Amino acid sequence: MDALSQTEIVDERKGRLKSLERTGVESIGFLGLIAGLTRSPLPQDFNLYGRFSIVQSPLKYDDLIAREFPPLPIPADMRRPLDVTRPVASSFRNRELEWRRSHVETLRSLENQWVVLEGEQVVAHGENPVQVINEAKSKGVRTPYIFFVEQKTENVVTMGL
Amino acid sequence: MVLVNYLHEFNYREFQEGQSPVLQLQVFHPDNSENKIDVDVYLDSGTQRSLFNGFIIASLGITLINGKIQRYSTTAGNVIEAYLHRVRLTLPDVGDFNLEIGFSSNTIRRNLLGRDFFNLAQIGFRENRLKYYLTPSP
Repeated sequence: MDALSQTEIVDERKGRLKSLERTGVESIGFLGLIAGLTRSPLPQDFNLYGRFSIVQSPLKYDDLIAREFPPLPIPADMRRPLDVTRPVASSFRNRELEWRRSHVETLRSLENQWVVLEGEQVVAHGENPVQVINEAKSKGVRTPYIFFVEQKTENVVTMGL
Repeated sequence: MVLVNYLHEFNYREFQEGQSPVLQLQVFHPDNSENKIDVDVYLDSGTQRSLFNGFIIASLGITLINGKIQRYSTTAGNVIEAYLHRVRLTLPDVGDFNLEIGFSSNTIRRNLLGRDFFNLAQIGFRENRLKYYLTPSP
């Protein structure tokens, strides 16, 4: 009796597994795989039970094996630019700018004046910009670079107007 | 997301008053390319129309008051009187820009390049790097 009961238990497990094969539950795995790989919606006339017959369909086993798909194309408007070039730094009046940066003390003595600078040389300076330009031109500077030396004041910030 | 490719990079200029987004550019007489002057200009998006010192136009040999009068209202409520003149601005390495600019009848400390210029060039500020980027607008 005991042996019979044990046999029945074993048979019950086998029977359940056989039942799974019969109902095609295993093929749901294939079905999910197919749906996932194709990324296409299931057809409207999709018949679950019909698909169970996949086991008997002409599909070969190799067709159902997951394989690597080529990458999906990326829409043009989502592509990042690949031809990025670094912006070019301007070199215009670099000598004068460097001089201004490195001669703070000299410029302090020229505060509230207009200055024409050519290279590292102060060509002309004064309170009247027109006179300063004319003086620079009279010294042979064809294109004067003129700027105003603002007074450095603590606790004051600048603004446009 | 909007991506802008900038062609030119500028460091903020370090002057007495601190570091600022300043350009060095050439102002040309509109009809005489031999007549020009190099100046500092501050990029100022708060300025509706560029405002330069009146002596600049005078140094190009143009009579200041021949231009159409234009008044500028400052943030303090003052009014600055200026005259409009069309000039050519050249940013060496970048390009030329034709602009009708107000030239002040009184001396001002800073030349301001305002939104009329911003209409001709795309500018991006990177304040925490003390840099700005510029590319002529299409």
